[in-house]
Amino acid sequence: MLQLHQTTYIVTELNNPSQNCQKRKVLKSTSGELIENRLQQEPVSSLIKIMLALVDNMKKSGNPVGVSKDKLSSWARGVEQGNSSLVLCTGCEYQLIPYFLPLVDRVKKSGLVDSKLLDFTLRLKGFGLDFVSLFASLSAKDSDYYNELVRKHLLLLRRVKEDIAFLPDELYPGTLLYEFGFLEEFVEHAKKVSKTFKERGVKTIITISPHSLEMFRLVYPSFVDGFDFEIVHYLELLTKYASNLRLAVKEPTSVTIHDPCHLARSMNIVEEPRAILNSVKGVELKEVPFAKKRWTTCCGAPIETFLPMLTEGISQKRVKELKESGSDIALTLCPFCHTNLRNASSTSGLKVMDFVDFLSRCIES
Amino acid sequence: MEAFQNESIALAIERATASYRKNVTNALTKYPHTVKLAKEVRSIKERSVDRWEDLLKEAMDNIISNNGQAYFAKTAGDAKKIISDLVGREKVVVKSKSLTSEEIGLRQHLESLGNEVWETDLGEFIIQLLGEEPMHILSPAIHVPREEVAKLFSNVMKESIPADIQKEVGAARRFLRNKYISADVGISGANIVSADTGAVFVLENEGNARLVTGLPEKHIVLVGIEKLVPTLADAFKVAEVTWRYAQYVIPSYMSLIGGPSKTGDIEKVITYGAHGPKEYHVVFIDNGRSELAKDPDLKEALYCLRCGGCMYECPVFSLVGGRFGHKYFIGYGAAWELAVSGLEWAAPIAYTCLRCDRCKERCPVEINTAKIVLRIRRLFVDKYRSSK
Repeated sequence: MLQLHQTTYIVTELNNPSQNCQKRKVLKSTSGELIENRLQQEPVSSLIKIMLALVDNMKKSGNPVGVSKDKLSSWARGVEQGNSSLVLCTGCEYQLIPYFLPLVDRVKKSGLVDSKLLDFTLRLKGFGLDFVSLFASLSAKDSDYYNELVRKHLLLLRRVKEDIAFLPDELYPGTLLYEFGFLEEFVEHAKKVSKTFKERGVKTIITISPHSLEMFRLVYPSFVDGFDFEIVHYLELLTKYASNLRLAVKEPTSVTIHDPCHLARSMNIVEEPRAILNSVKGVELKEVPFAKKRWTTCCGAPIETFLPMLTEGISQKRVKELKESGSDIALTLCPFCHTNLRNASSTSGLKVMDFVDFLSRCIES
Repeated sequence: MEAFQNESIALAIERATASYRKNVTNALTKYPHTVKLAKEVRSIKERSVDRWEDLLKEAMDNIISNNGQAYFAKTAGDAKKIISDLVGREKVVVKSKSLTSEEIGLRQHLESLGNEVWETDLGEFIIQLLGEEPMHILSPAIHVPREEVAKLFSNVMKESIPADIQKEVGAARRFLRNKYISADVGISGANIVSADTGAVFVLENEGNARLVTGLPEKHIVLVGIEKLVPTLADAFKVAEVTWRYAQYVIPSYMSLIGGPSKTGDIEKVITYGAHGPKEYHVVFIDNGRSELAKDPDLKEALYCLRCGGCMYECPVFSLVGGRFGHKYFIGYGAAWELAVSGLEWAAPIAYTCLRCDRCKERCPVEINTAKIVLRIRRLFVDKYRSSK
């Protein structure tokens, strides 16, 4: 079994600098081999444990938390499915968030991260991941909330393009497999996803999260032969037809935008949400000092399953930056940014809203 | 957030970041050509890393023909052996800041042989006295406030030093001055080496490196093979970009060292050790770098100029500083850890990186950290698979 090294920074108790100096000295005075020997007595890393659990779920059910297909499609209840080749692919990310919350909570509460920041090695003993019991604590309110957000994307998009369909079974692009380094599993999964799109006669895929967009537009073509679908992000589509949307707010409102790293830096979608907001009557956009392609700050989400305490600190810092815009409303363009920043802003006076949620409320009656 | 509520680290980094951003913006506004020059430097580094073996041979030949000595150390152990053989035992050694010497644990090694070794860079000196490890590559003591420095200095120097930065700097200057004078050996790193001349460039602001490289009778340089560039002209370009992105309009000092100190002023007889070192030794170290150079994704890490800018843009670093790393810091540091310490040290860094890519926006040579990190995660998963 491969071991991760206990690097010196990892053992430090950050609450207690004097103790941490001492620990560092202890490690330093020991020879490299001694440290290694001590480590080899430790059981399997929890990092691997968490990753393997998620990968195992992927194999069994096509998504990292092992949720059934009908649950992932439940957002569409009562909505006409449509049968055009222009298909909205939710990527399941909004729907999966309520399932990630208890997992993150579990890691946080395990006590294994409380004192040993960035430690993947020692927080292992007795750490099990039973997804069935995890989801016992799942809140129906959360599920409804995220399902509603997905529904709002489709309904808003259909105002500008009526013939948008969706698939009866929702597909997760496999982002976590790719991100965690499970390349073989990722490629296998991606091929299945691509095959399903082909079988369903899909020509154009509309994405609603930066990660799905990045996967389908940038990553899939390098790994899946014949992945030749046209990939359109919902913001691109809305920008094209923004004037048809006839959006307005009842009272003058100022908002700011949190640019997601992958959307802004990787996909270069920066001006689109701004152009859309510009078409909303009564809305003033106040920019954050650290924004757009170059300097937007990460919300902390990418490491939340391993290091949730660190994620919390990063998202709280971002909330502070967002408040510097002078606006009380921050609009997010990614479900993970949304969740993290919303959690981090609970006592800050900043209201974090999904972009589409905001737009849906601006539809002139 | 209680897990890392070491507010002093986060606060110190927040202040340093604000001032870094202001200074680097000023420096780049005043000298806007730097941005374009940085692109040229990237291509210089690309070419140099690809042919490091040729450049190494050329540089070593030139150092020797300039009456210096040149060595190639394949591993950290080789480098430590070469250097400790040159230093000997029971000697006084002064050092200027060198990340490469941290990498191989040079100070500790020389100390274990009974030598008295002093770090002379102020931040590094504080870290040495604290018995800690650096928190930032350029500002190693970024997390230690003046009050703590005063306490530490008072203790070590056996006199009462107030928590006044000017006075603390003065105390360190007085204390170390004696060490330079009595030192048998000076050890420095190098920012750049030009192969066509063998010249070594050392950039600094404090002036300690001038004393370390100029005062003792013996000067030893420890430098990674990735610091080699083909020509003197290339080296000047790399130097300018390095200091500009390290937030300086111009550094206080750049030493260009081509060989030992010499004079011909008496009867034109060349005599070594005039005022500076009589002996000059350059130790080139590989220690895993050549393996990185073979990997199309990972070799980018070798382009690093060590300007330190990326660290100020990293959200994880902003909270925990040098604890996001081991010998090398933040995401791209995972490649360095892979080279010098192994995958089991690199993986925790790779899985802590957000892959948010902001470091690349700051990086003068646009090191693609996201790609490096992904590659290391894949290596980790592959190794896990094969070890099952």
